[in-house]
Amino acid sequence: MPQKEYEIITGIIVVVFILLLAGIFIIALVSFNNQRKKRHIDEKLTMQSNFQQELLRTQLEIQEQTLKNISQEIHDNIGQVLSLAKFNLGTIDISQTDKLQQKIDDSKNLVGKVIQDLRDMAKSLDTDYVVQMGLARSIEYEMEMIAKTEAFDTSFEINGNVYKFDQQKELIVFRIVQETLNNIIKHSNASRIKVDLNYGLSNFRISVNDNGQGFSANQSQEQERSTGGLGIKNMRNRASLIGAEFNILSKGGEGTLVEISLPIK
Amino acid sequence: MLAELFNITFTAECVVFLASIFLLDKKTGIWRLFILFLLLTLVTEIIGWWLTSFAHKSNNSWVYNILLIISGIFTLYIIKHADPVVRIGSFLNIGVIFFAGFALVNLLFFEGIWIYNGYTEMVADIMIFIYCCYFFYRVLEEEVYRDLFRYEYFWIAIGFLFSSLGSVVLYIYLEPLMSYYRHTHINIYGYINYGLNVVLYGSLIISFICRKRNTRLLRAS
Repeated sequence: MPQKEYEIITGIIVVVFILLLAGIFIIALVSFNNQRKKRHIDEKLTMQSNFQQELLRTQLEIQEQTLKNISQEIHDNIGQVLSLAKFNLGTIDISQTDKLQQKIDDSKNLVGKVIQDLRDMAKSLDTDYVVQMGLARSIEYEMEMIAKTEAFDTSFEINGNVYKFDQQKELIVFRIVQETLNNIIKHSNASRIKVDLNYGLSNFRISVNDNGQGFSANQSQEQERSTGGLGIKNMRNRASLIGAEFNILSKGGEGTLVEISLPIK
Repeated sequence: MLAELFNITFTAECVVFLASIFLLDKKTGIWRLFILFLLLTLVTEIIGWWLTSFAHKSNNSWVYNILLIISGIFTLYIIKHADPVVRIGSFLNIGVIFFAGFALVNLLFFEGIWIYNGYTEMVADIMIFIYCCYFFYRVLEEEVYRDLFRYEYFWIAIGFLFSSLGSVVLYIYLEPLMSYYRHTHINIYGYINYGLNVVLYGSLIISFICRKRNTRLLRAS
């Protein structure tokens, strides 16, 4: 057999072998990539599952906190006013006609106040009501309630054109703001509360500012432990659940600024 | 004489044909066409063998030319039904029509019916190779995860990819391989061809098993 023919045959075998290897390489590449895709999908599923768990946990915490708030409100406010009304009615002396009408009027006013407080509380707790009114109006309403107490000088401002975003997100933002306002009322010793809502094209930002005593990180943790409040960590968690950024700036004696920034898609 | 018929390729074809009968039931849809196609392949092999061994005809190419056209169309048609490529199904149909047109023109006006239609085989192999590569590309690109080793179209694509690649090389080097055979009586062409056929038919059997399993799972869910 001529040498040339032998070389050609060797060449053919080599070519076939290379092509086989190329085929195997393609299959290996596809399989490898497919495995990577599987890992990626698994990771995504795990993250989704974690997110759902976190969401559930947060919802439970919110529920718990809400119940605590209701209990506290009933005990500190409604219970007190009703006790006063009861006391008023109990001390009525029919023989003292000059004071009788005054006591009945006082009791009527007290019961009327309780009814109004109950209505306000129901409104701020009712999710449907918050969703219906929208975020801006709900926060404005909260501010009006605070202003009514006359213990704070309040300011509420909206910049940009108000738009609605996802209901769940609006609700979570509202609850964070509500918790922030609660914290200010309970712990800050502030005399002024300022809330700004900025409706940007690509970003929604809300800032809550007070002129209270402020706090350090350690103080905040201690306070959370003693009051059982939702705390900054959980507010941050809730913000991250909806893809928002939560920032808090505070220094002893210089008030506190809470900012929530939510990108709009 | 029967020994000439029952070479590795024919034996593999028989095994795949039997596997297709057992594995491809009604629920497997268009895959049942494989039964018909494999039967046609066996019949073609038998006619080809009969023509040379009993009828003593020196040329049996016409039988294989017809099978070549049907085989090319059928293979392209099956690949185009794979989920990852189905979205450009109409575009792939144009490919099938182009091949059918080319093969018929070549059969009627160029190489003719009495000479083995090598050009048709080359075009078929190249198109199958392109379809398989596109299939793999889509599998890589799509976001859905599939267990590829249990995915029937993956095995089909593997079989056809190797077979088409090998056939192109064999066709290109047919002359030197035949010359080598004449000198040494070592049938390298035959060995490579048998190897490719075993890979192709092995892949087909696995794909039938996967098809049956997946159809059953789909119906159960």
